[in-house]
Amino acid sequence: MNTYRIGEVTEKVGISADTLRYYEKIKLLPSINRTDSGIRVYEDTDISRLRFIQRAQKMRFRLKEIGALLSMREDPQHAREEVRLLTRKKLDEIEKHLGELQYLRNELQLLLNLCRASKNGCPIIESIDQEKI
Amino acid sequence: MGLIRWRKVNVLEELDYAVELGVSSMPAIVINGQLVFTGHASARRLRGALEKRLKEQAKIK
Repeated sequence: MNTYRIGEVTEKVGISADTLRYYEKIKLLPSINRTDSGIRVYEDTDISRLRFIQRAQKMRFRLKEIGALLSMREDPQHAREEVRLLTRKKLDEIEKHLGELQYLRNELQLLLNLCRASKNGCPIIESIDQEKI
Repeated sequence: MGLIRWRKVNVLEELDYAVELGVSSMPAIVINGQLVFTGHASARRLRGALEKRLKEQAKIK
């Protein structure tokens, strides 16, 4: 098992020390073990939890929702009904988002390929020029 | 053997349609709403693909 000081965690996941302490205070993180001199010692499970929080935040989930999802993540078999419903709802949101991203990806790929193949200039630039008019 | 209706699509004018069909590069040939060829198709392969579908349609009728 690896252990990390707060500065190492900050470097590893890109979350500030203040935010780490705040997450612990609002119980998004469990109570972090401390050395005899009171220095926080984080473990790999905490890092994994923090990365989950980051991913959920990128999906614009609120901290309260993330807390509920974390409880599901920790003990899925005993999750409360409301947590299960929230998880289902969030999964649906992610799948919708993925569908939209996939569509956008295909559209951009097509435009790039057209750009490469076009002998008479780039259609992307042309469409931007047309929007300006 | 059957009737073929065809039309040329300007991808930039019907971008959503092209993406929905799965067109990722040009030229592309779609038959009955299905992307069949991406890139240049030889006359023989195009003819084969069209005949196959015409036969299938004839069977349905």
